[in-house]
Amino acid sequence: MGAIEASGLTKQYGDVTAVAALDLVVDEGTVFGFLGPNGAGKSTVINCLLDYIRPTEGQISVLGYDAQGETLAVRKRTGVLPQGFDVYDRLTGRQHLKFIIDSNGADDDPEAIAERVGIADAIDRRAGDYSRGMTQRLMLGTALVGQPDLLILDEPSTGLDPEGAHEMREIVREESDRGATVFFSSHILGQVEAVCDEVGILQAGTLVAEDTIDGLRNAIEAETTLTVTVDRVPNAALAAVRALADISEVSATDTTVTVQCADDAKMTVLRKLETAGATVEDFELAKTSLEDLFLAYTDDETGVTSGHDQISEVLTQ
Amino acid sequence: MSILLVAKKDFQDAIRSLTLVAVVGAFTAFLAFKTYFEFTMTPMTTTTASDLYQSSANAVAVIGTLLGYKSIVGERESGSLKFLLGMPHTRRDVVLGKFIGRAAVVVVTVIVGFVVVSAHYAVLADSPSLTAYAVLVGKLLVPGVVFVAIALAFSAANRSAMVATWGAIVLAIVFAFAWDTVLNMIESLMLPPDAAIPNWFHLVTRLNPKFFYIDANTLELGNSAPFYLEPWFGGVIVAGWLLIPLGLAYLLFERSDLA
Repeated sequence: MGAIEASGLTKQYGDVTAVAALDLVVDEGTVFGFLGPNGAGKSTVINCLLDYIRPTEGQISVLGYDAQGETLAVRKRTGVLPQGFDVYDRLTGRQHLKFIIDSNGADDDPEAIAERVGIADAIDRRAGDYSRGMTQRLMLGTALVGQPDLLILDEPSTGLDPEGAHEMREIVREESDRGATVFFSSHILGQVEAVCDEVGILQAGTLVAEDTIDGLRNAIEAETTLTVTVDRVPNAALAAVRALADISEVSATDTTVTVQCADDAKMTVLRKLETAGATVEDFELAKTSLEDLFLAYTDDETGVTSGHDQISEVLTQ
Repeated sequence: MSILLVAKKDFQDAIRSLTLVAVVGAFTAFLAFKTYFEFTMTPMTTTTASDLYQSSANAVAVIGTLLGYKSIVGERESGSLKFLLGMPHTRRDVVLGKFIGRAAVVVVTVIVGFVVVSAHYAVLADSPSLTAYAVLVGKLLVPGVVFVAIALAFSAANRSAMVATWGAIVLAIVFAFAWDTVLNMIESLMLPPDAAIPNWFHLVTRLNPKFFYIDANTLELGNSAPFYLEPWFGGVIVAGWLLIPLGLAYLLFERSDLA
């Protein structure tokens, strides 16, 4: 059984589709990185998991419970660090922790939790006087109360400095070692890469990739972009190259041929071009990194569509 | 249990509000002035504690509305509702817990005000009566709690704090002033001046939660009063004002998207 199973999850706001027929399975005990640029629909999915909002269509089960029908059972076993949350300014950190400990019927020690998330010295101060980072730490602390089976962390490093983000990842590891499933959303690959067993990349409400970090990396790094400078491009040359095995894309201008191919197919490509009547004057090789790939999704300035095409091809091989 | 935890948290939070301190201060000052005015400026009539009711009830209605109108929509806008509902609480727990928490705050506010002013009353009144004073305070708690419920219902049913704020202003004006004014106008302009006031008119007066206690006895109607002017019907009116707004608001809140 998956800790999270969504099928056909769709959320529409009027004409705008925030999430489109999403299927997602997060296995129990994994740390799942839910990646995607801002506005891709990550928070919408998380809000549906927690029943903050109701899906237009589709089913979601969380820890085996129906997310909309058995909300209380889900909340009892889930620790939540939502995005766009606020704390009660007039209550202290201790009062917040005490409130959630009582609500969960847990027996945690507020001081131990405060210590763990690094706000032990501020536990008796009003949360309204906390910095953004401290508020985030307090909220992470409240998510840990009662040893939840599932932790849902929506952009948990928001407001944290690099040191804080590092500590947060340590806590994610500790919770995972304890046996908890962690569902971790972020728009920054680096946050997720180091701790996640698996990632899903969401783009415009659709899951465009779901794999292990290593799986994604292997798939991408096996691919090479070969740029060949030739004296001329004979008519038959491109067709001949396309006909080869392990070739995903071929394009050409007057004197250059660009080929996307498996790494060990590059010599075959060069030979084929020569046989077709072109003289190879020079060539370059470029590998696609995971970072390049992810940037294609998250950086609005770079061509999102090309990134989309790229990964679709990579993953369908 | 869940409801009481939400209520306790909400009480702890609201009671620390500086706005509340200012409201309690203003209410106490108003009460002190009113007590002084009623007992020293009207020497021609015998003034008792219950003469303080009408103006205090208007003040309490406004306080209840102030306490309720932002209680849920405010948390929805700031995002603390996500924190609250990230815990094992249902939306029903939130609505009822908040209602109990805020009702407790209005009770504390009214009691603090009257306790502070009680010395003033003891000195000014011709024959101060602790019982009459306690009955006055007890009677005032009813509209206090009812207006918390109405305003809180408005707060749960709306997505925007702006709408809830305007709603609160309208509610306060309708219940504290407009209802009485309209009835006074009907009484003086449309009802025959010599005849007895018809029963339906008493019912409409009584439907305002401020005047739930007006019944056949206070009106001295004897045994001929219809059921809706009997004392027990006051309980029905109060229960209606609590359950209908809170129930409708809960149904809307339960169905809505919170983010």
